[in-house]
Amino acid sequence: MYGGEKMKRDKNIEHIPNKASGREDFRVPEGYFEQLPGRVMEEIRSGEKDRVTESKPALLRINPVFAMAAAVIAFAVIGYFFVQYLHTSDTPAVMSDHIVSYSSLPDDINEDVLYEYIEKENISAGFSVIDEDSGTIIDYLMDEGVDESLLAQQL
Amino acid sequence: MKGFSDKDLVSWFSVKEKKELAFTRIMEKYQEKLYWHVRRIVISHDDADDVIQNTFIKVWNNLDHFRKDSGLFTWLFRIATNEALTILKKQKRNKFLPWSDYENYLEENLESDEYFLGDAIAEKLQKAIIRLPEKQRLVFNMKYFEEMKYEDMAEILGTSVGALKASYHHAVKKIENYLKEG
Repeated sequence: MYGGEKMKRDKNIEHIPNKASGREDFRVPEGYFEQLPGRVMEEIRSGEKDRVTESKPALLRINPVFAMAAAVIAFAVIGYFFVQYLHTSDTPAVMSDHIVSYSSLPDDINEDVLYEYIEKENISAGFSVIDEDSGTIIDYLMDEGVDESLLAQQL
Repeated sequence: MKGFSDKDLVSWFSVKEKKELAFTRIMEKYQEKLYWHVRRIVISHDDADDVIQNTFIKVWNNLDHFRKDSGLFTWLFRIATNEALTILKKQKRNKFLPWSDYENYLEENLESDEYFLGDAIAEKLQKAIIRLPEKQRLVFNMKYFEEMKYEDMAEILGTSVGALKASYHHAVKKIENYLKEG
C-alpha cells in the first residue's frame, strides 16, 4: 500500500478507533451486490425503451387506423355543429324569443281569464307606451288567431 | 472477460455486441468500492442504493464520452460522489433543514438504520464524522476507511493535494476532540 502516507495517517489517528471496524459496522441486505448489476441493467433497458417511445412525435405513437377514425369523427362533429350554427343564424332572434315565451305559457290558461286579468289590472296602459313594438305585437296576436274586434276593444 | 483492464472494458463498451457484458463487468468490479464510499456519505442503505443506481445509469449514458486519459476508477468515484452530495442537498431542501438540524437527521438515520450494526464506539465515530463539514467528511472517509491516495482524491474532488492534507488534518483533530468530550 502507500507506505509513507499510511504511517503518517496512523500517527495522526492514534486516538480514533481502529478503522477495521468501519466497513463491518454497515451491512447490506443479503445478496445485494449479486443482484445490483442485473437491477441496474433492467433500469437502463426500461429507460431506453421509454426514450425510444418518447422520441417519436405524439401523432406517430397513435395507431394510424385509430387516428383516421378519430379524424373522421372530429370532422363529422365539427360539420354538424357548423350546419346547426348556420341554420340558427337564419332565424331572427326576436322571433325565437316570442316562440319561447309563448310556448312556455301553460296550455290550460283560458284566453277569457287572461283578458279579464288584463282589464282588472289595467295593463292596457302598458301597451299604449310601446309605440314601436305595438304593431309587431298586434300582428303576432292576430297571426295566433286572437279575435280582431276583441283586440281593438282592449287597445 | 475476467481480469480485463479498465482500458479493455471501456473499448468493448463501444462495441455494440459487447456493450452490456463490458458494462456488467465494470459494475461488478467497482460496485462494492463505490457503494461503501457512497454509504458513508448518505448513511442509509436505501439512499446509497438510489445513488449507486443513478451513478451507474449516468456511467452507461456517458461512458462513450469518457476521456481515456483519466482513470476510470477516479471518473466513477467523481460521479458517485456528486450523486451522493446531490441527494443530500435534495433531502436538506425537501425537509427545509438548516445544516445543524440536518446533522441530527443523519444521526437519527444512523441510529434507526437496520443495516448499521456497529457498537457504541463505532456509532460515536460515525456521529463525529457526520458533524464534520462536508469536504472534511469526504476527505476523512476516503483516507481513513478507503485508504485512497491523495493524488486520486485530488482528481475525484477537484482539489489540490495540499488542501486535502490540511482538510484531513482538521478532520482528525475535530473527531479526536469530539470523542474526548463524550
